[in-house]
Amino acid sequence: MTPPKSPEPDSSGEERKAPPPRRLPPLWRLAFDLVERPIGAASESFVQSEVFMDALAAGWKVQRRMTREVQRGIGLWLDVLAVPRRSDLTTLVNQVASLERQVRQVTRELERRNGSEISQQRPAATTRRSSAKAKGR
Amino acid sequence: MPSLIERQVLRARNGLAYLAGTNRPAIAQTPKDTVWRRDKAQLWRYRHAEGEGVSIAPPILIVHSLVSKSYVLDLMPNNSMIRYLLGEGFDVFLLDWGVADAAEAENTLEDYVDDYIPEAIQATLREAETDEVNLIGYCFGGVLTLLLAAGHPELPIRSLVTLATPADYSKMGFMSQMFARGRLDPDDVIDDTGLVSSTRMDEGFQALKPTDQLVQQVNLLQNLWNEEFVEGFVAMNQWARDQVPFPGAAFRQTVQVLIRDNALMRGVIPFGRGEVRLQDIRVPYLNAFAEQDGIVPAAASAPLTELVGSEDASELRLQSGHVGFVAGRQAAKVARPQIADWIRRHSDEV
Repeated sequence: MTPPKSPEPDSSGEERKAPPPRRLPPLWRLAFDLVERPIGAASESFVQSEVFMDALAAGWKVQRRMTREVQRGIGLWLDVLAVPRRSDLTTLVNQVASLERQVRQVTRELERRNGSEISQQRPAATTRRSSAKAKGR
Repeated sequence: MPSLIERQVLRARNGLAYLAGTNRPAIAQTPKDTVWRRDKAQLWRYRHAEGEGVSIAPPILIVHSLVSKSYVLDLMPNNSMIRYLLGEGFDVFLLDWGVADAAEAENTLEDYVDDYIPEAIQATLREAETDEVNLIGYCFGGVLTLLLAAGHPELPIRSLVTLATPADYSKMGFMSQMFARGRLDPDDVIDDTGLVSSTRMDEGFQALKPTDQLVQQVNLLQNLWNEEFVEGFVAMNQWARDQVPFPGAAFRQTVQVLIRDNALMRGVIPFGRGEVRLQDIRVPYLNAFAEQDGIVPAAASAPLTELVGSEDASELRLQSGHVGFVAGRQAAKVARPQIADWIRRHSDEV
């Protein structure tokens, strides 16, 4: 499939009207584009470079480690003050989520079993009907 | 176009409304009914406007991506892929995944492909009282529909369309390169609740085009006098920053199987207890992708047409960006009509 073709004569054989000429952007916009385009292109190339990706990966890893360390430090103080910490809440959320997942699995398993029981019953009913028909004949 | 002075007045008025947040457009306005739900997944059936009706069968089931919100498909009344398809006479269903939380953290790709989507297809068949569906997968939803069509040949799929769906993850640039060679492990970005947070997802997308936010703001300033532009801008900007968390278990699989092993490109994907083969996809297939897509580059999507086993496999190459399929001027002029036309040719009139 290709995009629509450029204007062609319509069914009446006449040339379609040319679209109105496009307005030029204001000067300030042209100036902005003149500066932004090379910077944008360079920054996109930089983002794709090994140096940037290595640095970002290291940054994310450090950020994660720092966050954990800070949370652990704060947690120790919160423990002293007998105040629940964020990780306690996260543990509870995860435990509830785990329970929710188990309930879902059990529900699905039950539905499957019910489904298979119904499908097992159906052929039996069909057989009875067929045999009844056969007897009738 | 208004005069210079009028434009400045409009600019001031719209600018103040924008800053105050009072010109938020109404999004996802097409009326719909929830016809099936499981956990956070919901299947919506959209209602036709008065005087419209279903004239094409089988219905369309759209499987949305796991990484964004589905309202991009029904962004605004004048800019809605859903509304367009309804207007063309299709019966439209959308499978929305909701916002994942800790309960979804252990969801694997198999959960989506072997459980949720087949059940949603059954619900679609039941609701529409039909025996087949036309399937559309958008972005990562396309990956799910490919795995589904390859792994479940028994499902009654009339045709399959993938929009902006990656196959060659080595061409995905920054996003996959961060994980490809062990620079980062999935667990480096999965948080304590077992999800890749929406903030992390957003950071990843923003890094693709570092100056994009600035350019967008300048576009807004230039067109601030134009109410219609501002409305569209606000809606699109809201969606672009409105990422959803990605389930950790599915993310680990994505990194290992799709990114590091580049399994879609090999055509054989380890899945469940066995594997699925893209060559087993036999239904008519349309691979639609965009030349200016910065998230899923055309080079990452293009090979799909050859990878599937369908005899009727074609590609639709658009001159737009990632959302140019579903929203915006390109979508209205080119993408939606061509996609609808392709599906219509593989459907029946009723």
